[in-house]
Amino acid sequence: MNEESSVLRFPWPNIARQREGVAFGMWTFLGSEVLFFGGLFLSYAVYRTLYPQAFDTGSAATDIFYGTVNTAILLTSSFLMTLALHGSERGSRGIVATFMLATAAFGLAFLGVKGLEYAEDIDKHLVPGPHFPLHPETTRLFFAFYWVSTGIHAIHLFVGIVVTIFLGTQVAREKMTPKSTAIEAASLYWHFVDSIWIVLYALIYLPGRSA
Amino acid sequence: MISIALRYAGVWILLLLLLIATAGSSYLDLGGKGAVLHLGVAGLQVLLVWLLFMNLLGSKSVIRLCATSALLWISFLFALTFSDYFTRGWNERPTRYPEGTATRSGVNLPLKPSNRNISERITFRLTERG
Repeated sequence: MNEESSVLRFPWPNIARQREGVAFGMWTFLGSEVLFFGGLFLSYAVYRTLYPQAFDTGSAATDIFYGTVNTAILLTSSFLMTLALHGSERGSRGIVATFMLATAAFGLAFLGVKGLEYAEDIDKHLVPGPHFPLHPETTRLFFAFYWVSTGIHAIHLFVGIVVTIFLGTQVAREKMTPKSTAIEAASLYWHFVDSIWIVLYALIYLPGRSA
Repeated sequence: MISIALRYAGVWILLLLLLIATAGSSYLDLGGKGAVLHLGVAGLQVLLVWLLFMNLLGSKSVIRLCATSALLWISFLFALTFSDYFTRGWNERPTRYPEGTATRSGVNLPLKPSNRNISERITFRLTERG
């Protein structure tokens, strides 16, 4: 069985058509994800338009250090993922396995930093509830967005980490060919989760610091 | 492999430089232009990731169409919603909620004059009863 036939799946006539199908299917799924996060971004836009002062106050209470470090971590992980994908195009098992696992390690580092940030936020009672310290009370809307959006993003990233580790180890253990089209699908998903974070970073950490 | 890696490293460094620039600019007093700048830089970063890392630039038009359609639908979502919020002031009686109207128990919606009379009458009766 040659390499190509081990990658090819029903119903595709050849590997080029299968790659197109994978990219098209993945982008269709990502389009639905754009709309899913779009609902959150829309609610943020509406409430920030109605209560600009509260959103500035809320944003200034977040820790921009953790946010910036995490953005750099995710951008770096995306760079490593492109290297893994190019290893896949060349059919290099070592490159795919190494860079997929390195990408997943950066993803785990992101979740670790996020955990430290969450612990600090909970310590400062920045959770909408009885001991919430900020005024006006509409600041709670900002922090509701903060917890929901970063939480949903973290779940997406966790799924990405599991998939990336699975594919990386399958390739390393020679149970999957490095040319598998699953690598491209995983890479598209990973970059997409990264791009959602780029927008979240601008919405959560940047407003309200100049005053 | 090396030349491709260097090309992607260039994009990665550009993304990091944009991150430093946007984080630094958040401390400058730019007024209303700050939000435009931050979202503009974020949009540029997302564009770089989508076009180069996700290879939309080298993809077939059907895949590019698929990605663009998601942005088209989201523009409808924003346009329709804000066509409501931005035109509320056009009514005879403005119904925009000013800052600070939300309370612990929820949002206080402005009452119509007829309803307000009823609620005032109820309050009056309750206070009269003591």
